[in-house]
Amino acid sequence: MGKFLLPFQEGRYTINAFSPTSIVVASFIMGVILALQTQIVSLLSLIVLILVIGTASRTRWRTVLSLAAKFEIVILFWILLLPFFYGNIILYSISVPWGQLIAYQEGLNLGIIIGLRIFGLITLFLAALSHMSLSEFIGALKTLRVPSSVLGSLLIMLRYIPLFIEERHQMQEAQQLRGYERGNRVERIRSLGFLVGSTIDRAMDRSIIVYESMTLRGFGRGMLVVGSGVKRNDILLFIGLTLLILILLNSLPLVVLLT
Amino acid sequence: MTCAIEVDHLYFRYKEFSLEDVNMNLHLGEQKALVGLNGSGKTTMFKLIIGLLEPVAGSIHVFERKVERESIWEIRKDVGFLFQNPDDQLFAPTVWEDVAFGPKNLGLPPEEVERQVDWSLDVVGMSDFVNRPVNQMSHGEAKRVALAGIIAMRPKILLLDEPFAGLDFPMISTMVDIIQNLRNEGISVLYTTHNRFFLENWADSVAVLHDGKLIYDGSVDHALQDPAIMQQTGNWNELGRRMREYRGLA
Repeated sequence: MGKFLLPFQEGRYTINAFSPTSIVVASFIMGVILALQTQIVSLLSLIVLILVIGTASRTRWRTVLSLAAKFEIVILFWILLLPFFYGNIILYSISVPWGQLIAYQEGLNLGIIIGLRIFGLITLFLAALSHMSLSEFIGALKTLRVPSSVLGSLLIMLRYIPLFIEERHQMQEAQQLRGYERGNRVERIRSLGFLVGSTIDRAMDRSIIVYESMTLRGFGRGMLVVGSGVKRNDILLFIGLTLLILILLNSLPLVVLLT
Repeated sequence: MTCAIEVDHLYFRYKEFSLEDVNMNLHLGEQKALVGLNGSGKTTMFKLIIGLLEPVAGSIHVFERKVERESIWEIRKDVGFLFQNPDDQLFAPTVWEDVAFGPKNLGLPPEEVERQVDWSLDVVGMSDFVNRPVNQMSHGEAKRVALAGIIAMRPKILLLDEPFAGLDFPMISTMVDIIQNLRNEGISVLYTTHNRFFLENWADSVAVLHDGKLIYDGSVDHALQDPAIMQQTGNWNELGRRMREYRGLA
């Protein structure tokens, strides 16, 4: 798969017990459930549940988790910074030259909750996508009546973000080959700004051409994309989800279900 | 002779550039070269034919259907357009998925999609690349896969924008053979080129664009004898000479 953003399966069609449409819908519902949790323990239980289900369905965890790990900075940002901005109960305070730096318990809790939500959602969606090919994903979204313009933008994004990163890298190398040496911070930022600006400009032009080439091959209005359909097994997926929702509504600890 | 494409008093304007009063035909089964210097309007002409651009005045008919908003989807089923840069066309993770994109959009059943993809990859000699990621191919391979993606939709007309640009001799030779075989199946071909070799050895007729105006549309033999026309096609260059040697032409 190399430089593609998401962990889609290679090849034509995958052999899954559930249809791609159901996997997308179920992950979305699961994502909503996860995002609504306000307790660390319930969030952790749901993440464990995702990991268990993923392992049982032979998710390629190495690929999924290595991609999820790229969001590490975003997660740490919330966990490490929020304690200093929000709360009443003092966790600890540090003396710094300009005064006291105080970390609060509530801020830390909120940071952990947000961090866990982000990690859980990313892992959930990446794991779900790792069970289908790009074609099946498009088919699923088409079945769900996602407009072609949205699908087109998504496809172009999936193709062009990695290309965009690669091009920026190549331009940086070309600069260095022509004698550019990394100077001070301001100079570096200026150079990077120029590179990012010009690559965005090029990527925009290119994405228009790609979209044109997609419409020429029948993408969008007027022609049919075969949807991914549904399978009989899909009912099991939704029974499981309903059970999970019932358990959460009755405030039963999820850990009980897992053990 | 039946017209596959009929361009009638076509006008187009975009910023500094304009196409003025272009009249041109591509007959059924014909192989026509569209030549001209950079910026003469060749790619714009293609985009107008395929309906990516709208003319200011005049009309284009494809198999007697006028190119307009209402008919564009039907016309695009009949006309395949190969972009000059294959990177502009390939977007799916693997070769198979990219080639299958068009047939799927046509609403073909999965087994028919399989058949079309296998056939088109076989035609361009890329059957072994079926699971290869599209970003791990050479320019020539990518170009052949891009062509496979077009012919998988079984078009009746091919518009090829610089099909040989950036290819080495063996790859050019392969592309020539592929397109020749498609033509033998009755597909009409309109292609742009800067090289006189592809004009002399390959085209049934030639149209010459200069600064947005069509200055010639007719036989290749006559065009080759007119220095003013040949100025627009580039010189008899090293590439042409070596290609003739490579393909064993006199």
